[in-house]
Amino acid sequence: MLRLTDLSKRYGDVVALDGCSFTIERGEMVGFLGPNGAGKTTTMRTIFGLVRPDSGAVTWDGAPITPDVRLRFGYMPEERGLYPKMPIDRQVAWFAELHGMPAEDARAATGRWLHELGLGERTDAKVEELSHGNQQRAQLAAALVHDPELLVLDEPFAGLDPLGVENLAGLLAERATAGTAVLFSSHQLDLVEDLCERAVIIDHGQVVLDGRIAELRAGSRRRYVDAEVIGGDTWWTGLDHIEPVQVDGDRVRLLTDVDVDLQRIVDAAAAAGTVRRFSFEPPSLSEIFREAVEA
Amino acid sequence: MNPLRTVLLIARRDFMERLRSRAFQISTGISLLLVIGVIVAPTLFGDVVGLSATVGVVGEDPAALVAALEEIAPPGATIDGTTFPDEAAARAALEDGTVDLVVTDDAILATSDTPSSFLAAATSVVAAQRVAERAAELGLTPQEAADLLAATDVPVERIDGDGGPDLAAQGIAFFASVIMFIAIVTYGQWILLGVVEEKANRVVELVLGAVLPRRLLAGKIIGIGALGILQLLIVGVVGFGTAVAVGATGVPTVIGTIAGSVILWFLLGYALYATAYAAAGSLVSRTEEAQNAAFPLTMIVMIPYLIAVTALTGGSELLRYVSYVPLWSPIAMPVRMAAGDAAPWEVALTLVLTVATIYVFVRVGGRIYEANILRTGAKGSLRAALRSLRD
Repeated sequence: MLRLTDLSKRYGDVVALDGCSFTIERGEMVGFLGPNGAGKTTTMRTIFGLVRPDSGAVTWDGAPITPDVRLRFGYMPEERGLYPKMPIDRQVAWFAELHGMPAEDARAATGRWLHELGLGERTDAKVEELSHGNQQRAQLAAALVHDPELLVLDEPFAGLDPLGVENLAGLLAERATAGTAVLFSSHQLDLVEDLCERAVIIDHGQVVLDGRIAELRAGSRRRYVDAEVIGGDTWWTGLDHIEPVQVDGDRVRLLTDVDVDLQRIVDAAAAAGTVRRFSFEPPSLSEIFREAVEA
Repeated sequence: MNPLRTVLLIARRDFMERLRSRAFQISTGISLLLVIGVIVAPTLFGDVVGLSATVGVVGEDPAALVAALEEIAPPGATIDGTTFPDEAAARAALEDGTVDLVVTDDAILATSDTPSSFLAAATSVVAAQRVAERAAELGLTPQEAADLLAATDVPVERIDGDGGPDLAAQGIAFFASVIMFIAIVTYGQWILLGVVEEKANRVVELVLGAVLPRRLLAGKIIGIGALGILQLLIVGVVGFGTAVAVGATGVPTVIGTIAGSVILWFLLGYALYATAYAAAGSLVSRTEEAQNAAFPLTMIVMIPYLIAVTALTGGSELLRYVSYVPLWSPIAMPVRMAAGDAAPWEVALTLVLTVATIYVFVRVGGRIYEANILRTGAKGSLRAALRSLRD
């Protein structure tokens, strides 16, 4: 288990981390969310010893992270980069060896991963000769090749086409199922909601929300009614504790709260026109996110 | 993982990837051409008993004279002989350049085109023949004549120290200073560029996620240093082979005596400047700024080089003081040692000072490198370097 305890880091007057704490279990995939400048990258760099926190601690399985422990982690930095003139097979194998794999195993694992990531045909191409998408794949291979126990990916979905997003999502889910602890940051909140059971939201260097996404949503007092009522006009006027968020012809999204008498709303809609669609849902992860970081 | 294995993995990558690069192959090729040119050129244009020379003799068989000249000629030179019926014919041939020199009964005829070393050789051979003839006329046996001549070898003892600089040693010292300067500046720049490139294309963050900065630095310095030594060896061996092949006399023995000190001082000089170049590289973020970062260091290396090169014509007080400065010893000392004017205590002192300075540089340079290698954006400056030492 990865545990971050009360991490703080200042750069001059800028507070990057301000008591950031959370944990990740093996086999768990956690989405790491936060506005730009919230401290996501600094947190990830701290895990790899690239940033020394002013205070606080990072442990793996209860022990401090030594250089040897760190070899069992895989990392994909926000700023992608490989040696541009080095062929990808030699390069990925070198990273595997750097993480402690014997040369023989490193070569075998490199072949396997490059094949799996769809680079099997281009193993001897130099990184600079690859397309942007393929460079991203090679980068991923370098993070995965040594079969890490913890995988930390900074914005892994940025710049991928929809097919690439789908492939990567499948691959990460598979890693988590295999027992790897996976932490990735993203601004694509719908994707995180689909992919992860858990999310950690950070703002101004502090964790503002941390939990199972379903529980975070259910825990909100807000509820949204999405309805399509043909000929209903403004059927919701006159109801208490309800206000429109978005109106588009007969379609409307209404904000209300968890204690509202739902039956009265249903009745009002049915009385006003023909109900084509009616749902009563907690806020989406995006709405939870906005709520958390705007507060 | 064993730190040594990590360091060697880094070193292996830096060594192999550079060895495979076209830039390395081209620079090695150019160095080889330069060295071969420098060694071969003097034998083509210089005042050496040429690759061939012709001696003319009036009214006699030239075979004996040619044989005697060949005996003292440098290896590879050929001496031809021609007989002329009278002196007038010989003079004509000398004037139109058919022969380089003519020996008559009572004189040696030469022109201003006659190589001076060939003239000197012919003079001594003819003189020796005359002495032998006189000895025979006086009734001495060949053995007695030989003993008589041997007595004319007067030993010369120099009383101003141990031998004084000889020309071949000075020439080699000159080469030593040129090679030291080029090697330190070139391989220092390789390190600096290697550091800046890793930083500029961001791969350094991935590497440092698995490797401690000082191990990355150590591996890089060892890998590039090993490649530098390989390149020096290739150039050195080819240069030595060329020198032997064209018969540049004196070079082989002198190289033998100074090769040890050149290699030792190269290793020290490289160790001294490598971390400095790495630290300079860590302060900038883009390859375009790399030259600016290298400039102050190149200037520092250039000072002892210029002083050493200008001081070659004689022992220089300035060069002596310069050689005591640890930053400059690796370039100034091999020159003084090659010229034979460095006392053993001076060598020992500068070695100790240099090793101590290397220790300080590795500590300080390593600190600057560690503190700045992940920093991007702001332009590198001396102030940034000092700040990173304070933190």
